[in-house]
Amino acid sequence: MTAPGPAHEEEVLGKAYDARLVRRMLPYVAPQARWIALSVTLMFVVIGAQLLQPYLIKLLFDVFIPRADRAGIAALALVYIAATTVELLARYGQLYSMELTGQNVILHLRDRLFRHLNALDSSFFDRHPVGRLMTRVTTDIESLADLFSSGVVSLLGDSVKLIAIVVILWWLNWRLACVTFAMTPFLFLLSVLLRGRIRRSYRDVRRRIARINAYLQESISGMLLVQLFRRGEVNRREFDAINGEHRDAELRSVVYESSFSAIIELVGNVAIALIVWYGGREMVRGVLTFGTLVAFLNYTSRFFGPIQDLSGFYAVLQAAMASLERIFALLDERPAITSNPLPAALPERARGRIDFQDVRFAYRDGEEVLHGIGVRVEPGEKIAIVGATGSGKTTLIKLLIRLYDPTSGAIRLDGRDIRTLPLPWLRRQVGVVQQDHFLFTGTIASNIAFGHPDLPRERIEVAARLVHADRFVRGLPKGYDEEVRERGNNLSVGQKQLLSFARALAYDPAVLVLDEATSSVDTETEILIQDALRLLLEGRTSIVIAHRLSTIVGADRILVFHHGRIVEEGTHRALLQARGIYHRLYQLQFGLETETSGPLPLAAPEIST
Amino acid sequence: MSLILRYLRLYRRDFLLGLLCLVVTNAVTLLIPWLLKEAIDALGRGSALRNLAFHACAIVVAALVLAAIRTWSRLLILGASRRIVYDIRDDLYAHLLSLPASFYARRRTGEIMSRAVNDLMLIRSLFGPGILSVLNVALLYSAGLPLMAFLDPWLTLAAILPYPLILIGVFRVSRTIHERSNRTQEQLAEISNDAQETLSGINMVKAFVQEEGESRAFGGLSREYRRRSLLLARSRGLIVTLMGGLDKVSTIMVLCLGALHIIAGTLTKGGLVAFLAYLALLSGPTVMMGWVLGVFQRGLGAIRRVEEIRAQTSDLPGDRALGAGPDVQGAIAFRGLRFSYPNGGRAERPVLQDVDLDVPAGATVGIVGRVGSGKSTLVQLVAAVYPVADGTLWIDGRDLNSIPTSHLRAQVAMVPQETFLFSRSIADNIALGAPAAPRSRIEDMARLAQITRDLPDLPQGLDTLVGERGVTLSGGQRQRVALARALLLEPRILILDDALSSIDADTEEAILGGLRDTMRRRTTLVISHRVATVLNADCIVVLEDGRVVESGSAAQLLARDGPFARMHRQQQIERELESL
Ligand SMILES: Nc1ncnc2c1ncn2[C@@H]1O[C@H](COP(=O)(O)OP(=O)(O)OP(=O)(O)O)[C@@H](O)[C@H]1O
Ligand SMILES: Nc1ncnc2c1ncn2[C@@H]1O[C@H](COP(=O)(O)OP(=O)(O)OP(=O)(O)O)[C@@H](O)[C@H]1O
Ligand SMILES: [Mg+2]
Ligand SMILES: [Mg+2]
Repeated sequence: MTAPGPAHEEEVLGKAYDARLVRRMLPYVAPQARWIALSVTLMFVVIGAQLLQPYLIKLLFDVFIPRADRAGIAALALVYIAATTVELLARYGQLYSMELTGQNVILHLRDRLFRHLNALDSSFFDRHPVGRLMTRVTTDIESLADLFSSGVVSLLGDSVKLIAIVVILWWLNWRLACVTFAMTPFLFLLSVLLRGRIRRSYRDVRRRIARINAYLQESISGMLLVQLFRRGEVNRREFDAINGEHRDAELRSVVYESSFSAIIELVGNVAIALIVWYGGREMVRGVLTFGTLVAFLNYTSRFFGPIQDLSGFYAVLQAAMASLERIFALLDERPAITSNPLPAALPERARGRIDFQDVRFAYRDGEEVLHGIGVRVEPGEKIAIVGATGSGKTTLIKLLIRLYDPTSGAIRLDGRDIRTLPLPWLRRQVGVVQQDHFLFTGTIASNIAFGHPDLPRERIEVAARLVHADRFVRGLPKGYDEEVRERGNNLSVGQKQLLSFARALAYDPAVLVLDEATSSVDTETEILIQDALRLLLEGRTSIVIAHRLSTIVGADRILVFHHGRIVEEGTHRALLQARGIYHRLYQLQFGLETETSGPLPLAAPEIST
Repeated sequence: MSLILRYLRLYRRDFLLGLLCLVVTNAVTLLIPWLLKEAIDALGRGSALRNLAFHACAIVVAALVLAAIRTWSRLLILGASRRIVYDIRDDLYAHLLSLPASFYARRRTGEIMSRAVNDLMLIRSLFGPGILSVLNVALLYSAGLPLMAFLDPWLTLAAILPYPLILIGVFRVSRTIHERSNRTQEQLAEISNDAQETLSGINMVKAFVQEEGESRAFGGLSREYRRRSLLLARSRGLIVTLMGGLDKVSTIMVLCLGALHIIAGTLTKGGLVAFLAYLALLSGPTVMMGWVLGVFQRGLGAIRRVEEIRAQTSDLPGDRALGAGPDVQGAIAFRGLRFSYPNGGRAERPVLQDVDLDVPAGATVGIVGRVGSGKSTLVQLVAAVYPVADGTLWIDGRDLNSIPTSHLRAQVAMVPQETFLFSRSIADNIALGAPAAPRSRIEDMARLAQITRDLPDLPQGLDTLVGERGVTLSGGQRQRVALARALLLEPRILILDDALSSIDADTEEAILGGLRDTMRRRTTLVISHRVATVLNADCIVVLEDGRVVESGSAAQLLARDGPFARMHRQQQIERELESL
């Protein structure tokens, strides 16, 4: 529930500016060049209009007021109005075109990221909790959007404005300008001193909110267990600890947030004091006009504004860079399993011969789960796999549809190594009812038609009838259009299994794999399904995994797995005669006497009904 | 709204002190232009340079005081906002822990998550920067306007003349913003729900080659999100422009009128400069008000959503029952029990009806029945997962509704049909209900559930971390961990809901052999589709479409030749077929 994993991606410190990352962003940003150009142009218009205004005020004081020129003042006012109108319109256009750029970029990037995630292999998903990955497609992408809507161009704008102000002040009076800028080295020093700390404090906050996310996600999904096992108090304490750590990190970052802008303001005010003091003396000496002094004061206040903005922007930039770093790290994950281009002549449908050739596999290095599985399945054959739990049955199936690749050995479909086949083609040939059934929110019909979204209604119903789900579906108020909630939570487990089964049948594959497909289904229904399937399975290869031996009735051949090896193989009768593991399982299951154990004498105190 | 007041009251010390600091900072902020005016006017009179130095020093001192107090005020108020968010989140989580299954059936995980994370961010902005800005603006106005009026009443009037007009516009736009930002937020939630689902079911997506389809659907959601964001951006841009315009119009009015006043001699140059400085001081916050308005609107929306969850209460009567009473012994009686899932949209259709059943303490009851016949529902009711009508379910002769839920659950342990493991170690998962359990007990339970068989295959034995929901274990391994977890509680009532369905016969036999003793001492409800598993139970109950169609010992039922006998025969016939 806590699982703070070893080191996770939130740890990335993230530079405020990383040329490598920015370069990688270019392909996403380049198509937006037109909008960016527009935005930059408008920004110059805004700056021009803004910088004109103090100058107009200077004219007012130095020229028009002394002359008492009322008409001049009116004209000046008109110019001022024009300047501000232009400024506002340009600002609106600038903001909007930047938002547009940002939204286009993140739309593109988000799509790309999601596609990429879909292409990654299962071992990746074993290592990365879904909650964490979701953060990539939502929060991280959003912080890029912030960068655009609140940043990039205004960063440029602010810098340009700063430079323009410096130039103008210099031009107005270079000595006074020197005095004004006497304070900037302090600012510089300050930001150098604080930068590392601020960055660390933001990282802490991010890391801790990620933990809150993960914790919540898990405990909401497992809420029923938390409650049944009366974990409430413990969980509350655990959550309080995580939440408290987050608060403390936040409080630390508040210290910087609060002091930084106040200090910049302080520097700005000191600069004003300096101007008053030095500028006043110059004025007394007659070197400076009053209007220039006022303009200076005015420009100076506009000088520290952008600096304050820049420091705020720094945080946004910082967050965006850290997000980018994580996003690109994800995009850099190469799927271990990739598709191959379509070889020349692949038939629409495979014949269904499967060769497992000395297949070995380990989920984690050095811990082999399958130790050399070798078996051939002929087209149309019905194979059953039985064996103790954890013996590697499901794993073998995952290898067959290439959710993982064997560490050594090969699997062939119709004689072709499946690693040389196009993935979509392979997976269209093999339909699997997976042991971990999973339904999607939507309707019953959309779940059955999952593999062929445009499957006609009749075919959906045929599939449902085959697995005898039809009866209960019809009992629902909206029948096939009944809503299915998250993970199918409003259905019974057996019903979910039947729907997964129907989904695989509707997929109409050449090879059908049933991994504990009816483990939660009653025998009566199961027998009905088996009867119905007999016809359907004619001519198809099928592999059935089951603990309940009645499920594998009628298999042509049975494989018995034990600790990742096939230890027995043969027909039902041959295996019974061999008196090995299968024989024992069989005896146990049907409550027959065996040498080792008797029938299961469960407790027997009296009972009344 | 009440939540805002409650937390304002709770943190009144911080907010009041913060307010006080703000009063001081604003006074000082306003002092600086005044000093400036004095300095400039002094210059105009050609007075001594010493005066100039004095004014400059005064400005520096004021600035220092300003920086210190401003930092402090922000620390107080922003700090309080962080603490408030912590409080609310803690409360919210505690509340979530108390909400019943019917609540979680209605909500998607992503939705609840977004309450506890995204919405709290918005609330944080409301209490932090939001309140800070509002206080600041209010103070600045209440001090700045009189000062300005003192300098020149006509100018002041000119400065505030455009306000009412533009504010009306702003309010109209801000309503649109509110609506649009909600719709954007909703779409973001859609995106994250969709991503969450696709990624959780990724193996299914791959097996059915739906990567393209899922990506396209996701792309559709993203594009809609872009559309809504741009709409929002338009109205935001409008607000910013309107607010900016307000500031500019004021400035122009002041400039023109001020120039005329200077010419007329009713205003000094310094006066106008100071006036402009005040106006600039006010204009920053005024422009900000557009933003603050948004913060408040989004914050209030978030509060409403959070409050909506906090207003939910448990529908379990047991959660309101008082007085634990004696320990549960484990006799269960159903009396005309009828049940339908709450808020299922198909509430009328009962899932269970007319269930009459007596289970003495210590008995073992096998429950069988077809898919969807109501078996899981029945046993979940015993664990008080869903509410039942008074008088229909009795534990030890007490109405279940009168027993505090937590008291009851202390004696009930369930292995649910679908296993959920937490991404912790196997040992931690086993100790879920008793975190303080000693290692030896955990190991005993692991042995009882036959997990020990698999230990050689697990890299760190019982300390192996399992993936999300337990994905890195095999189906049967997961089920056995869930079994050990229930056994560790040593409950009076043990519920096994098809708990051995993913386990091979050999392991099952070993488990049942070990459990024989445990089961003898407690009431055990066993749901199974395998006749053999329940054959020796004291009583077997057959459910069909939510009704008990027969019950009795195996011998009785076989003699009756009803559904159970049929089921038994079927499994026998298979056996014979197979052994041919
Ligand atoms: N994603 C995974 N990562 C690491 N180990 C895994 C993973 N999935 C399974 N294992 C391990 O591989 C072994 C074989 O698991 P598998 O799921 O193939 O068993 P199974 O034969 O299907 O068992 P069951 O009958 O219980 O379903 C087990 O020891 C299991 O713990
Ligand atoms: N959370 C829920 N909301 C609404 N309906 C539900 C919910 N859970 C189950 N149902 C419905 O109630 C009925 C009984 O479900 P229940 O899970 O009790 O069946 P079951 O006998 O355990 O079946 P199975 O053998 O498949 O596990 C089913 O028709 C199912 O669709
Ligand atoms: Mg398996
Ligand atoms: Mg069930």
